[in-house]
Amino acid sequence: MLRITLLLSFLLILSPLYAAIYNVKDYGAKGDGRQIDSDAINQAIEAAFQNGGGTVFLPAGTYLSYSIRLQSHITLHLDNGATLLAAYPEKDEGYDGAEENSHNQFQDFGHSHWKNSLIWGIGLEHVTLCGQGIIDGRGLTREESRLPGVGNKAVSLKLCKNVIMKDLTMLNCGHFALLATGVDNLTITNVLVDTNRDGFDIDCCRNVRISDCSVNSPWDDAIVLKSSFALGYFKDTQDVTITNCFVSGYDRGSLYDATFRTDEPQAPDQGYATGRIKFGTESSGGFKNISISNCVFERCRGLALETVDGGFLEDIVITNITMRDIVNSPLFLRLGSRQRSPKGTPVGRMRRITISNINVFNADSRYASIISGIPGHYIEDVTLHNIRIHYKGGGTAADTQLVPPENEALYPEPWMFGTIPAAGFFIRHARNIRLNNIELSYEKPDHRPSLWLHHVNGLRLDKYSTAPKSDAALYFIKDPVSGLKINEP
Amino acid sequence: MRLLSHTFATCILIGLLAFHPMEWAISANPDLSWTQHVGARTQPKAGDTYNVSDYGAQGDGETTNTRAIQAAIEACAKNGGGKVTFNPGRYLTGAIFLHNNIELEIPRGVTLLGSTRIEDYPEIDTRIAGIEMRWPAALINVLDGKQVMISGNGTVHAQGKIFWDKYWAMRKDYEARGLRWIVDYDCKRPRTILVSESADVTIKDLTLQQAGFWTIQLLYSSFCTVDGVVIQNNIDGHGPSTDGIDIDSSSHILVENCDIDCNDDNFCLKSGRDADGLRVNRPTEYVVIRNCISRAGSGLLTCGSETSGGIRYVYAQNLKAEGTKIGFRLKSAMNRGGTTEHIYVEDIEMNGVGLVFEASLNWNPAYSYSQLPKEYEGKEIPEHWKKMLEPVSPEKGLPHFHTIYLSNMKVTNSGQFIQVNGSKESLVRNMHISHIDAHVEKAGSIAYAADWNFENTCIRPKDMQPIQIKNSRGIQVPSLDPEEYDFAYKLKTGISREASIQAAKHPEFAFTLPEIAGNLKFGIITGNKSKWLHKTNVSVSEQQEDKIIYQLTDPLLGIGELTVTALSISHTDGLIVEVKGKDLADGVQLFWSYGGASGELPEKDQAVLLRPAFCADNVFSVERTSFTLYYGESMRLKTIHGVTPLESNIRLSDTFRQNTPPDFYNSGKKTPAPALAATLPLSSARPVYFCVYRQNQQADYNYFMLPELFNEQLKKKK
Repeated sequence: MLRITLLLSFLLILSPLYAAIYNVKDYGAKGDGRQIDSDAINQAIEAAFQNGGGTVFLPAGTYLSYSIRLQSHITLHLDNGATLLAAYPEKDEGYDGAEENSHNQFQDFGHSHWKNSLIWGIGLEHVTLCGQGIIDGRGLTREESRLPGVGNKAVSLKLCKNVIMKDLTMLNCGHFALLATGVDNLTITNVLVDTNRDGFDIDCCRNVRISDCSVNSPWDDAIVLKSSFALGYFKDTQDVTITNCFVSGYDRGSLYDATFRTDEPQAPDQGYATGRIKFGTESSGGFKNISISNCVFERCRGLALETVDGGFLEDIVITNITMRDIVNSPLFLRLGSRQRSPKGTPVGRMRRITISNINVFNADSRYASIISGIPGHYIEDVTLHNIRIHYKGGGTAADTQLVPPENEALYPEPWMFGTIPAAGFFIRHARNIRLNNIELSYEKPDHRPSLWLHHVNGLRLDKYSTAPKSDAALYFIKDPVSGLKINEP
Repeated sequence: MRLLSHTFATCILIGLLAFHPMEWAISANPDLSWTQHVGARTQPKAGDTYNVSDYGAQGDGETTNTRAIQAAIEACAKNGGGKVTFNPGRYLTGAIFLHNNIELEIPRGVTLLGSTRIEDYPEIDTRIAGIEMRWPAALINVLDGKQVMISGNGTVHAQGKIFWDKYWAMRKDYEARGLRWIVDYDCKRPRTILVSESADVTIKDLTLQQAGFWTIQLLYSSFCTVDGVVIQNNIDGHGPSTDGIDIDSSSHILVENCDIDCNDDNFCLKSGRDADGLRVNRPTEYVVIRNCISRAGSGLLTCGSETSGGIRYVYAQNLKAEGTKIGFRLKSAMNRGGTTEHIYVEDIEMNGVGLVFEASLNWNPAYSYSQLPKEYEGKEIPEHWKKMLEPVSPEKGLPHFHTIYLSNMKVTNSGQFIQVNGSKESLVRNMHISHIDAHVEKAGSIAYAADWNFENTCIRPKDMQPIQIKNSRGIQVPSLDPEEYDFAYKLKTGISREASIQAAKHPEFAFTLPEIAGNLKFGIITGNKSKWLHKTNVSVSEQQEDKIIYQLTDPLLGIGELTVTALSISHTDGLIVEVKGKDLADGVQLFWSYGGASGELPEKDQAVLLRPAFCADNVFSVERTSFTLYYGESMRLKTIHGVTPLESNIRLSDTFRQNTPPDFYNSGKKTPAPALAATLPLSSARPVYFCVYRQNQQADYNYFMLPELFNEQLKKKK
């Protein structure tokens, strides 16, 4: 008997060395929700890495954890029933420190460091995070605390390639559920995120596919493409597909538990639930060749395309989007000159954008929809095609007199212009804009003109139908506007 | 509908009981024994069954069956009564008249269709909207009947839309001619069911659709029951005056388990109008309405506007309004007279209503006051015009509302709470409102009223304006704010000169930096007893420009005492507080709350209490037991940080509910004015620390840092 026991013990000790699957419990993880298991998990990762890679397996259980350091050729598999739970920092224990970054003045603290995270990897290849388990970032912060030991991201990856995230549920993820900076060939599929700040931040990444994900993030953006200067050089975010996704701004946690609650309308930035798909704000590099399709927005802000730090935002196709209960502009296109980039970076461009088959119900009317460049820098070649928007309405005749400030360098958000003097679209500093088959309707009468145009060269309206209050003009032109063509409504 | 009655009643009962566990009965305990003696005392005697098909009726939806159905009724009556029933089908018919001891059964699968020809409703002497006159009969009539029943799970579709259209056309024309006041009487339309001068009539289980005018009128009748009736008038549009159930100068009436969707008053009590109503002078009294729902419509429970004969002894219980325009309304006009009194309303749920409670002595003047346009003077006018034009002396015409009880009501997602307009000569008196929990956009106003009491009433207006009172006496409306006290001391802060932290005579701190950035206050809880600290035996033992120390004792602490030391922090605008116990009794809990950052500068001499108005749009992010409060406008966003003991159990709570610390702690987060509330166990073994501060390069704390921070700051003080 003793001999058999000894033999078994020997095999158990040796087995990790030969297994393709590295069970973290074999490395001392308890999964009891009390012991800090990150050391054990890191040992399992290290063992796999030393053997050329493999699957690090977390069986059912709750793994209280600080930073987990990924390696190349590692699949971190959270089995169904497994929760990787971010521990609260204690007096002398916590997450890996934020590493030095000499370029951190160009973006927020959260974007500029990677190691102060629950799971992080730098310079890796062939990394997969998967399984039907849960990553619960409870012990992470969404705030700006820079105390040692504080972690603020669930997953952060820098300069990696060939990365897959699949099937996971991610909750309470601090500043980011995923910060991917300079990650090429990234696939995110079937991931459900219900978090207290950003969902997926895709920053300076090339060839990214995000599909079949649900992201509830009432307190910040859900899926957001960025191109910051965090790497210390300009890199575009390009060749991105976002498809079959749901984004929302329900109360935190109520997507995950499927109660879809709406008791907490206000977001920290006082702009109501966020939870949208957005390009920007960090936009030092550019955004190129991006397709967004078949997405559903619910109880959140509208679609935002912003380039304000010098990046080129171009060749974008957005189609088949339905939105309900939208708390600000359903469509917000902004070329600005905040220029949070190395000195001398010229103003960017926004051009060749096609947005089609959009259906919006119950959108806040204060900010209408906005296409706004800045003096001398026009948004160009935008086609809006097959768009139906049902606004709340309620704009007054007095609002018509408002002239929104340019606020060229201001942080872009629809409220930057105050109440908009248009009921449908506010278009300024724009060239070659085409609105085709547009149908606007209003819950309450809106006394503002449907279109407000200023510094527009070439606007073509085909089948533009709107139902403002009869005392409002179809459009208001503040010169100069040229090349206005209106075909049959 | 049976199902509805029980499950719905149980849900509401449980819900409301849970909400206000202590008090259930109406305050002042009025004698309500009469509520046991309402409704039909007897029902038709069992007899033979007469099928209308045997009398030639055809359920094809096209043949007019008035005669055949009436023939069946007459045959039944002739043989001493019994049941008249139908085979499945759709039966078009004009007015039919029931007799004593008859049950008209409209079973499942049967639809009675009202004729769309007004000639199919012979004119009778009746009363319409408070005036006796000739008018078409109803579709189903019980006139001078006894022991009559109308029953079955079938449907009566009155096909009233054609009459609605007729009305709208006439109304346009009449209004243009200054005749708004008479159009409702001139436009003859059929009611669906009329019970007049009858007793022991029961109407049950039917579904009544698309009434041409009122749906059920109980007129000059007594001991009648309406049970389990569903009214759906808003089919293919919204008809004018499509009231649900009108109890008109009738007594000992029971209405229960009904569900009404209509386009005017849902459950309505009336007693005649103006000179004619005063002449008739028959009250509506002893009415019980319970376990009912109103959906679309103008009033869950309406008394008036026809009040001439008086409306009294009404008990309405366990009612629900879902999307109804007005919940409970009393209306009349200055030529109606009559007194509306002894109305008891309790256990009410309203969701999405426009106005919760209305009392108006001068309702809808354009409709209420008849005036003959000049061009008709000297010309022959119809009899009922004359009745309407008959003047009423101001004394006789003055209506009165008094002795009204409204208790145990839960209101969600609604417009305005109250709108009361009495008159100088007739104040709305003796109103008892208790145990109300309301979420509304606006509180509303009360004018010309006297002697009201509000008890345990929490109204949360989103605009943060309390009920406005005008020309009234003896009304103490519930305040939205907590109890007032001064902040007697001022601590300077570390950085900003304009900023200060104000301290009360008890440990409570208001952050004015210089804008209102919040209030930190404390309470103690021992078992089921609790206190705010200003009610304890508290004194300030030391005070300097950057330091204040309080000592406090209280029976809730046993023989123990608390020392609370607050120091302003030298390298930011903030405060660190130590709470230290000595000889504390077991089980003492410390309560703390933080909130109320309006972002505005305080008004002169305004105490920066935790006022709900300061809490709107405050967003709290809580991580472990630290918090960040976001406030101010989006373009000028501000934050303030707090670090609290690790044992704190923190919740978002409702600042409209600050009677006691536990009341606040258990108030729930559904409020337009949230704040954080928390409890933690307190022991003499070690002190606990709180820190509220603006974050900067030097000021970024977790709880582990607080004892050291406290000692460091203490050393810096003199």
